[in-house]
Amino acid sequence: MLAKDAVYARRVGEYAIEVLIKLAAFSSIVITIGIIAVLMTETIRFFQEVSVWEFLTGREWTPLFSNKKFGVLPLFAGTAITSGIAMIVALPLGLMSAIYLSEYARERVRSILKPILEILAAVPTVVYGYFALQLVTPLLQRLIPSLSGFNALSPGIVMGIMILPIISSLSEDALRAVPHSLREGSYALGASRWQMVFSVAVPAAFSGITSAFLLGVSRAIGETMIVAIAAGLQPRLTLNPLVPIETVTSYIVQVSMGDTPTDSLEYRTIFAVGMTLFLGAFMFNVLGAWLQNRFREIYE
Amino acid sequence: MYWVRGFKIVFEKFMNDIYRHQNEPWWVRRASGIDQVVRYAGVLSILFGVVVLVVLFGQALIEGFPRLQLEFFTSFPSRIASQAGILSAWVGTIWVIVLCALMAVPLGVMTALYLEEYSSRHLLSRILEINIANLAGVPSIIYGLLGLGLFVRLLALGRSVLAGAGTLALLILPIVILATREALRAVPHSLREGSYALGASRWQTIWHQVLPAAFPSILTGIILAVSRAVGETAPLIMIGALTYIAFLPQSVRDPFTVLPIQVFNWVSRPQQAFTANAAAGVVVLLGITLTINAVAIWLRHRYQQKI
Amino acid sequence: MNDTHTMNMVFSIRGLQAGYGQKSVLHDVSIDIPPRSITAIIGPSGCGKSTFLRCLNRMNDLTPDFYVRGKVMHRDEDVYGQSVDVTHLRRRIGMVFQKPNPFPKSIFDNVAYGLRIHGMRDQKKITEKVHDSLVKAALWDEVKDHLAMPALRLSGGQQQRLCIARTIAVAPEVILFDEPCSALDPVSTRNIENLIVHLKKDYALIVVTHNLQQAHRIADYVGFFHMGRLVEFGAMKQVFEESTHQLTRDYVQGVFG
Repeated sequence: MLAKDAVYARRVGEYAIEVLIKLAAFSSIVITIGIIAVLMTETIRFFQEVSVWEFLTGREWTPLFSNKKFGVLPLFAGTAITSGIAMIVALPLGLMSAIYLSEYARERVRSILKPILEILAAVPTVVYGYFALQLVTPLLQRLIPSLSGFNALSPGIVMGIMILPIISSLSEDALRAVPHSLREGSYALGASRWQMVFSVAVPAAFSGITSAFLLGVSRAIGETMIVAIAAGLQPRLTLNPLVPIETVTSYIVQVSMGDTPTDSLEYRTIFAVGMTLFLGAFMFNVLGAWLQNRFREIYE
Repeated sequence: MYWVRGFKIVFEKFMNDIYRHQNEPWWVRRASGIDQVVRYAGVLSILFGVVVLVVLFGQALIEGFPRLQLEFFTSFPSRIASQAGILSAWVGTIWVIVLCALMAVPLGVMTALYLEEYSSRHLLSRILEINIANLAGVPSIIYGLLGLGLFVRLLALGRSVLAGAGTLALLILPIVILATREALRAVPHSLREGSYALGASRWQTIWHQVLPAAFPSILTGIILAVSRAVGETAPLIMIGALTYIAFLPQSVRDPFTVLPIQVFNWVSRPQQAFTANAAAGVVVLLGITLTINAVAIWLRHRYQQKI
Repeated sequence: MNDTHTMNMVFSIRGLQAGYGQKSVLHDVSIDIPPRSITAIIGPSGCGKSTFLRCLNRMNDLTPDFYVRGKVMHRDEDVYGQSVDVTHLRRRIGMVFQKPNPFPKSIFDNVAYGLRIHGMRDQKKITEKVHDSLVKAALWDEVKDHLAMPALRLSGGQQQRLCIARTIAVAPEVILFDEPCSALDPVSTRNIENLIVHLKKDYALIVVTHNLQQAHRIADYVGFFHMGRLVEFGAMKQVFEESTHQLTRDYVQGVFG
C-alpha cells in the first residue's frame, strides 16, 4: 500500500512541476505583451494631443520648453549620425577581423585573439561613455579644432568599437559556414588566398554578413549611455558630426533624470519615441534574423 | 625578455614575407603581397580593439588612481569631490543583482527546460522561440520603459530595489534562456535514453541526469548574464534609481543607486574634480565586470575539458 | 510460431504496424517471444529490427510523430494500452544500447540509479542489490575496489557490462539488446556474448544483431526481418540450416546484407 501511495504522490508532484514549467515558459510571451501594452497605451494617449504628421515630419523637438514643438526628426537625425558613424567604424574593422580569424589565422592564434575581441563586448557602456568624453573627444579636438565638447563623432566612433565584436563574430560564423568545396574550387584555378576570400568566400557569406550588419545597426540605434554622456542633449536636425546633438535614447534618459510630472504630455513623449525605437530595432532584428535563416538554409 | 623575443619573431616573419617570393614572377609576388596586406589589416583590426581596451583601462587607472583608496569604498557620495565614495553604489548593486538573479534564473531555466524537454516542436514552441530571440534584441532602454510602466506605476513599487531588480531580471531573461538551451542541447541524447530505459520519468531524468550534466554550462551562462546586468545603466535610470543617494537600502522597497549610475553621475558633472572619481569608478566597474567574465570563461574552459 | 502455449510467452505480438510521420517502418509483424531463452533478431540494415525492438519497451515514444498499430501483449497486457504506466513497463523490460551509455556518475551510482528512482531508500538494500547485479553482470571482481570511480573511466567492454548490471538491478523480466557488441572489440564481444548466454536462465533476452555468427553462437530462436516484415521465425537451427524461405536462405548464406 505504501509503495503505491508513494508512486501516486510522486506522480502528482511531477505533474505540478510540469504545470509550473509550462507557466514559466509563457512568461516570455507576457513580457512581450507587456512591452507592447505599456508603449501603446502611452503612445496612443500622446497622439491624442499631438498629430502623427507633426510628430513624423516636424523639424523641431522642444517638448520641454515653453514653446512646445513635437517634430521627432532631430532625434532621428541624431540617432542616424551616431549609428552611421558607428557602422562606418565597425563594419570594415569587424569584417577584416572576421576574415583574418576565419581565413588566415592559425587555430592557436585564433583561440587567443577571439576571446580578447569578446572582452570588448563585455565592457559596460557607461565606461565607453566615459572613454568617449574624457579621451576620444579631447584627442579629436586636437585634430579637428572646431570640434565642440559634445558632438556626434566621438560617441559614434566609440559605439563602433563596442559593436565591432558583434559584427566580427557573426561575420566569422558566416564565413566559416561557407563550404570548403567552394574554396577549393577557387584554389584549384590558381587563385591566391585573398582572391579566393574576396571573390568567393565573402560573396558566398554575403547574406550572413549583411545579417551581422543589420544586427549591429539594431544595437547601435538602441545604445543609450555612450551618447547620453558624450553627445550632448541638444536636439538638432543636422548631419554635422561636430556639434552637439540628441538621440532618441539620450532624450529618454534626459526626461527620466528630470522632474517631469508623470501623466503629462512631456512624460508621454518618452513612450512615443520609445515606440519608434522599439519598432526600428524590431525591424532590423527581424530582417537580420530572416537573412540568417535564409543563409543557413542555403548551406545546409 | 619575452617582449624582445616576440618582437624579433614578428619582425623576422615580416621580412620573410616580403622577400619570400623574390625569384618568382611578378604576378605571384603581387598576389603574395596583397595577401600579406590583407593578413596584416586583419590583425591590426583586432589589435585596434585590444589597444583601445588597454588605453581605456590605463587612462582610467592613471586618472582615478589617487581616489582608489579604502575610503572611496566606504564613503557615500558627496558634493565635495574628494570626499565622495561609492558605498551606496556598490551596496545597491549587490542588492539589485542578487534579487535580479533570484528572479531571472529559475524563470529562465524553467523556460529553457520547457522548450528543450517538454514541448513537442509544434507551432506554439516555435512562437516562443521567435519571441525570445526578439526579446534578446530589444534595446535595454525599452526594458526601462517597461519597468517604469509595469513595476513602478502598475504594481506601485515606486523607485525601489524591487522594481530595479525586476526590470533587470526581464532584461537578462532571454540571455539566461538561450544559454540554458544551449547547455541542455549539448547533453547527449544517449544519456536521456539510458535513464528512460530504466523506467525513469521525464522529470526524474531531467533532475538526476540532464540538469547535473548541463550545470557547468548553465552556470557559465548565468554568470555572463549577471555580468551584463551589473553594467546596465539606462533601464535603472528609467525606473528612478537616483544618482545621489547618501544611505543604504534597508529593504527591497527602498530607493537605491548602482555603480554604473554613480559613475554616470560623476562623468556628467562639469567640475574637473569629479573626473577622478568617475575614473576610479570606471576602474572598479571594469574590474568587477572583467573578473566576472573571466570566471565564467574559466569555468567553461575547465568543464569543456572534463567532457 | 507454432507454440500454442501463448500464455507462457513473454511477448505476443499481432499485426504490429509502426512508423513515424509519413514513413512506415514495420508492416504486420506477428511474433511470440518465449521466456528464458535468447531470441536473435537479424536482417539487413534498415529492415526495422531496431525499431521493432524499441516498440517493445516503448522507447519509440521518444521519437516525435511515432505511431503504432496492432497489439503488443506482454503478460496479458497490451504494452500500448491506455492505463499502462510506461515507467513501470520499462522496469520490467530493460534495454542495453549499441553504444555503452553509462551515466557520468560513479560505478555504484550507475547501478543504484534505477533502484533509487523506483523508490528504494534503504542504503543497505541498495548496496546489496548493487553487489548482486555487478556479480551477475560478471563485473564485480574487476570493480569491487573502485565502486566510487567515475564509470566513464571504464573500458568499452566494462562499460557495457555496467549497463547490463544497472538493467539487471531493477529486476526485469526481459532484457532487450540493440546490437550490444557492435561498438566493442572482439574480446569484449565474446565476454558479453558469454554473459548473455549465462543470463538466459533468469531472463528472456532479445538480441538485435547484424552479426550472423553471433546469432548462430548464442541464439535459441531467430527472427529474420526484411524491409519491415518478419519473414521467418523459429529455432536457430531451423532458420539457419533448414529454412524454406528463399529470402532467409539468401541472407543467411551471405548473398546480401
